[in-house]
Amino acid sequence: MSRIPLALLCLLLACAANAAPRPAGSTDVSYSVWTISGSSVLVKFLLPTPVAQSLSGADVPVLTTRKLGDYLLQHLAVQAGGRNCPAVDQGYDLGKADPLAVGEGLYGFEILFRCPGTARLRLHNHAVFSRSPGHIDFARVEKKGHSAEQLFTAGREELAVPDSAAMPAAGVGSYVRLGAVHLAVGLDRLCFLLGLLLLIRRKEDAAYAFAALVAGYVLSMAVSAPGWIVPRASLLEAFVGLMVALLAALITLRELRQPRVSALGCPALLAALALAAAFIHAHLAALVLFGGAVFAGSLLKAADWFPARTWLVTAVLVGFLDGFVLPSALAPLPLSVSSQLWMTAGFDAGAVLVAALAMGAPLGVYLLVRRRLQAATPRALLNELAAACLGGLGTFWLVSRLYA
Amino acid sequence: MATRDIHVQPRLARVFSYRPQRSALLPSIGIAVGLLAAGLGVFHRAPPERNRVPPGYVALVNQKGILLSDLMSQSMTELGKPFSEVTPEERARVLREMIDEELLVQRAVVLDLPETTTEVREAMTGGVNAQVAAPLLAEQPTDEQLRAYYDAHRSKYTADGSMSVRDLVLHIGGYENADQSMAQANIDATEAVYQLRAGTAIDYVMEHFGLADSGRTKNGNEPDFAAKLHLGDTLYAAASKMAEGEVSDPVSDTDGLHVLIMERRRPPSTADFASARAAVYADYREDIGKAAQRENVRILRSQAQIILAPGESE
Repeated sequence: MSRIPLALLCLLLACAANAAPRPAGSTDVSYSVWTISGSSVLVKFLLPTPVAQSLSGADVPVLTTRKLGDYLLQHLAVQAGGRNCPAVDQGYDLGKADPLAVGEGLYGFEILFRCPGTARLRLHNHAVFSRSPGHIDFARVEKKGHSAEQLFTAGREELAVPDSAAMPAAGVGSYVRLGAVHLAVGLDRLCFLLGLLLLIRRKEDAAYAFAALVAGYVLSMAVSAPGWIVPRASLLEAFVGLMVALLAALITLRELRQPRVSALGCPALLAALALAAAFIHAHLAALVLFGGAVFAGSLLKAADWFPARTWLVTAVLVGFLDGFVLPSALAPLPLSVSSQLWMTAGFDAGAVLVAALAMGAPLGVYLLVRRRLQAATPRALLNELAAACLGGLGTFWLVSRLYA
Repeated sequence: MATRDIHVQPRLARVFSYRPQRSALLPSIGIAVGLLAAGLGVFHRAPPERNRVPPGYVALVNQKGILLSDLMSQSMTELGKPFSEVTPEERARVLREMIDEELLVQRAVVLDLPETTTEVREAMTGGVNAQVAAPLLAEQPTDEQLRAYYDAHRSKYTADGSMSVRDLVLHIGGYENADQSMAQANIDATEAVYQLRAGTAIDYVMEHFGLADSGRTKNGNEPDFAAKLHLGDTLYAAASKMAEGEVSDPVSDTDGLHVLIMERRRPPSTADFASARAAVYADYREDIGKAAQRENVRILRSQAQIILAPGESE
């Protein structure tokens, strides 16, 4: 199981061609809280600054606030009994969208809708989706002291509120879908998973790799659910980039038999970056890079001495880091541990399913055509190309996200 | 990759030359240390959420504490009795009011009222000004400080005087003598002054020397500030030094030579320190409060980044 399917390499090269820096963490999200009180519906809408600025096209906070308020008024709506509920001016001559002070990195607005009745309420959220189809709005609907977590996504921009029963929460399937999409469009994750295949030599290695990934997700759920630690999103994403680069070093070390180049080059590059980060007083980045250098050096040495399954550590780590994506995105919403655990479990399950597909499909294809490939494929060249792509992409993601 | 077979050596030599080349310990420690260091950068501790009210507090409202000392002082202020005499019901009522107030304040902060509401902005600026002045105002000024202030600002404690003055003017080169020079006019005016001081009737002097009423003092007796306004700075400077019944020397102004006759004069009076002490004390405190506010704004400006639009100035 040491030959690389050509298709895998093509995909890696395609990744290289589309190496636009992915936003750190899941920043293409928004948050809304819909409080239903009799015939009034108060909507509190929160937008992260990058999303807000991309919507308004203005960097000046005052202009952003004004434009966003108008934009949200046009894209949020409530209906009762099939009739539109008008937004109400809440005073102070500010108009119908009150800007809120909701802390650094977020823009907040409040809109009050007064409905002609209380029956057959429908909540509409069409904000951002037309501009960014992958956008997710994490919503909370509160009614009569009961709250339910819901999702607005492209194509699911309307929620019906039951008249008598409590509002149901979004099913776990919604979060599975989110997790699946997250991994399917995450080029860095896909590159890592495909790169991982290059280290697989036996059938059981594939099972171990997948199990390591799942173990990482489970570990992250256990750590993130109590809310004791919170990731710094940009550094977390940078570390995923580091994992991709480290994978390239492992391939070089194992497949191409150039231990010195990869065992010294990778940690040396990270140490140099750490020094540069320290020089510009980016102390946290320097700490991450320094830790990454020690980790990479030690892992490569261990892989040199014990080549069997040392590389699985990287799979555990990527699963662990990716498991923090949803908890990090949900941070602005105060959620109970059980709610967050439920949502994260669904999200991670979706990610794991896609990971299984991303790893399993190429492996299956390879198993089918391996006899033909063995004769035709120049193994060393393909490995070298794959390692070069992964190394370049990983370093690019690491550096670009470190200072995002 | 170099071979790592351990060569067969004599037992003793093997013991002393043994190197754990393939031990997993060191790489494992390295991996753990590296991950720990990187983890410290990537992750941070979540801010702790308080579920129990800490000692010294009586309530937590959205994680914001209400102090027991605040409850005690609020109860005493509101109920007008010592806290030890406050009943549990009264205490609960005051606490409820304080929680309501805290909720409203938090709501005001969320609504960003300081940015949007004039009244809130005024209250906040007033609050900051009072805060910066408070340490200076807490110190009681000594009599020496007040007296020094009084001496430096004596004009503040001076009551305005009044005057009834007649202003005669000799227009130089008037219609009667177009060739009159300044020197000739000065001689005529000096002679007129001499005669007026000698007791000659004003009308006679006016007719004889060609003097006319300037029209600047039609209102009779008027306060000094009004007289200054009407006479102008040059003539008022001369008039303010004159006593009642006095005739001035000729004073040159834009329209000719003026002669002032002070008919009635009540000079400005300055209150002595003892009688003005209360006003001096109030003015002193107001001035040091304003000085503290100016200093505070100066510091804030030095630390602020203020960018004006093109064409704007302040």
